[in-house]
Amino acid sequence: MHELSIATHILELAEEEARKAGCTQILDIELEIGALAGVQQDALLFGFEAVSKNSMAEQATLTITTTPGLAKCSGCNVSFPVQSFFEPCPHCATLLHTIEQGEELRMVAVHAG
Amino acid sequence: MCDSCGCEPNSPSITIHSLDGTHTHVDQPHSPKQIQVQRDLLSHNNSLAEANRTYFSAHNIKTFNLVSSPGSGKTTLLTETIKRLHRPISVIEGDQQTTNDAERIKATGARVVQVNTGAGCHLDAGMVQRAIAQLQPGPDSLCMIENVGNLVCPALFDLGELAKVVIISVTEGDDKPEKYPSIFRAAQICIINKMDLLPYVNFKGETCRRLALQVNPDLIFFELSATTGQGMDEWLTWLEEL
Repeated sequence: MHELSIATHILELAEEEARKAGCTQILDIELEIGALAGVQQDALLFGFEAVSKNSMAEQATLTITTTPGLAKCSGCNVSFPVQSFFEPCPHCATLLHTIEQGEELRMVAVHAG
Repeated sequence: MCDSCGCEPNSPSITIHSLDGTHTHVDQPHSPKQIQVQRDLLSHNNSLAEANRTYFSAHNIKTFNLVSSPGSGKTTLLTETIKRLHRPISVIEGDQQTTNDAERIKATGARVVQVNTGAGCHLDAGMVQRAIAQLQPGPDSLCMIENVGNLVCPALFDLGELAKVVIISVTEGDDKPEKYPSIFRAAQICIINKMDLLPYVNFKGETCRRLALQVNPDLIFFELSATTGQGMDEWLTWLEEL
């Protein structure tokens, strides 16, 4: 359940950014989370609800964009979409690849008043 | 300034006029702002981890973050490594509860600090920073961080280590890398422990290696049994030569 500690990091980061901008209430937090980042969205939402109680983000919503997984084949250099780390290249069936996208854990923006 | 009374409200406000001729000021809500952030969610942990890394490197302390599922033999591997290695080792021991493992390390004579994470399922860089302040590992030494037994959560958290060491035992099944790919991706070293039990279990080393290398082609393997000492020399030599 590392989502709980990620939720805490989200709250701290969002509060820091909102205070810097002179805001007192966080309305929405935009996140970008990769499909291969190992984070369960339901657990994250549940965790955030718990950690944001009595904070300036108590009413805030989380808007999560999932970045799809993208791998580059080590055999034929072609990029292809993946849902897991264990998918063979659809062109040459090679199993070795590097992940180009899908491991992001990023805060894009905070909407605050 | 208020047009009616000339007062200076502290914040932007709306003036509300009543029928009886009086008026009041109500704070005007801030108009919502969109603040562009573009930061990694773990940036706070990562900057603490970098500070730890700088400390370790300045004192030539080679630090390893040991991760595994519970019961893979991390503590036995540590006690046997401490007994046999000709280099000073200090230990940061992470568990949800108890000081049992720290006691086992202490019995070898090594310096140890126990971190209890309570409900937490992994160590983070801040916990390690506080543990270092207590442990005061000596210069030119090794520091082993035994993470909470968990193959999922520790994968995401950089502690400032030189390398993550993932430990699996042959009693756990050879498909562990397929089930928990993130930790095998994050690690640089993989130790397959309890090799003395290989004749009694259905564990295929080749399958395990193939699956692990698929997510991490650069992974370095050691196969050993901390209990019998089988294969320990290779691991110890590697640590001596660091």
